[in-house]
Amino acid sequence: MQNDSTRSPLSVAGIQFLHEGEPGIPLPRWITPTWRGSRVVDEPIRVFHAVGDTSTEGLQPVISTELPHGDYYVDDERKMAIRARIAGPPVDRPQLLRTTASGFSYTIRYASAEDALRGQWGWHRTIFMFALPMRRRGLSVHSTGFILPGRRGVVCPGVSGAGKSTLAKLLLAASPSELTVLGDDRIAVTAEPEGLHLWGTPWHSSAGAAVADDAPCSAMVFVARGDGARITRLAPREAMTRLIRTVAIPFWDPEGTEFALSLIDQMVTTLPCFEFAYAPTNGAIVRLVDELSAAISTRN
Amino acid sequence: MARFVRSADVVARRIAGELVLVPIATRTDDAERRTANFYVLNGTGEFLWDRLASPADIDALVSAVTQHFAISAGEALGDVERFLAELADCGAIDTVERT
Repeated sequence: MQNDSTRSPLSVAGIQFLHEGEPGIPLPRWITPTWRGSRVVDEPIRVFHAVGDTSTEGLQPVISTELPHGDYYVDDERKMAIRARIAGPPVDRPQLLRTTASGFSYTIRYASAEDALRGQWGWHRTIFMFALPMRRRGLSVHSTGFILPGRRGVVCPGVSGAGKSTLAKLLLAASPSELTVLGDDRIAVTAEPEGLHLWGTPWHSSAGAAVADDAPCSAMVFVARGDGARITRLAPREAMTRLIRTVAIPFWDPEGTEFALSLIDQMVTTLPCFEFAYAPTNGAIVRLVDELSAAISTRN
Repeated sequence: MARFVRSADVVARRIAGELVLVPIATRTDDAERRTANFYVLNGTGEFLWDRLASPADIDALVSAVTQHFAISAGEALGDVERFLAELADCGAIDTVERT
């Protein structure tokens, strides 16, 4: 699946970020230092950087969230805008993201040129996670993800504190042969003609997992705390109520939301879904990998 | 008496056989209103959602639930009031004053 000739440190899940800016504005050259970039298979996301008005005059407020997302607005065409206040030092500075073409083109305005490289890790993540459904390509899932031997991708969604990074750390420590941990915080799931596909992203958590690899998505696993290592099959309805909490839904846009829900439906009705209740030991992880491999093989 | 009707600012979609509502964000006057909210409707909820395709008042909804589910008017009133309060809170239904 790999084609290094098209890789870029600014490409994620097949989409390359292309940056342009006013003269004198420094432009981002990478997202995460260790991230070498995915192969490129889709139209780029274009981001224009400019110094200018960061006020929200004329925009309609939608919702306030904690940084790095900021306060959400829509313009009179219902295109999304976000005003974030990037923490100092030396001082907190507002930045304003405006949508030019949903899913494809955005502008970020700064109070001054020296602010332009601040906050880019979060900006890239926010732009990417909503660009995927807005271009009807996929979803960003709050999730750990890994690839089993045989190039079979497994997505493990969970809200903050669910144990995503713990699972990733144990998978990295156990390092069963030919197993790749794609990420421990954000995983991209795309709808491809041949089925659902899993991609690592640069946005990692405490396990530091951010691998630019991808594979067909073969299973979904929700982790839970337990005594031993018990893996049980989940009904699609149960999987849906857990998955929907972890997906970035473009909540200001009915068509984008409709697409996100349709992909959630595809995920829970076509993937085998499991709960893995475990105590964090290497033995539990080996059992997870063995049982998942067997379950997927049986299904295929 | 006020009547209630589905809001245009909600996406309703069946996922894994269940009817799921996701309100579309349009305002932030309520700080507790989190638009990533979703609602999975139970049998009574789906029944009421069907009837809210056109404006309906509480008496009509209670009467319909009482007949369809063979429960008392008191039970039905509680179910209907809770359902309407939750959906109004998240912006999934609008209130229409009778003229």
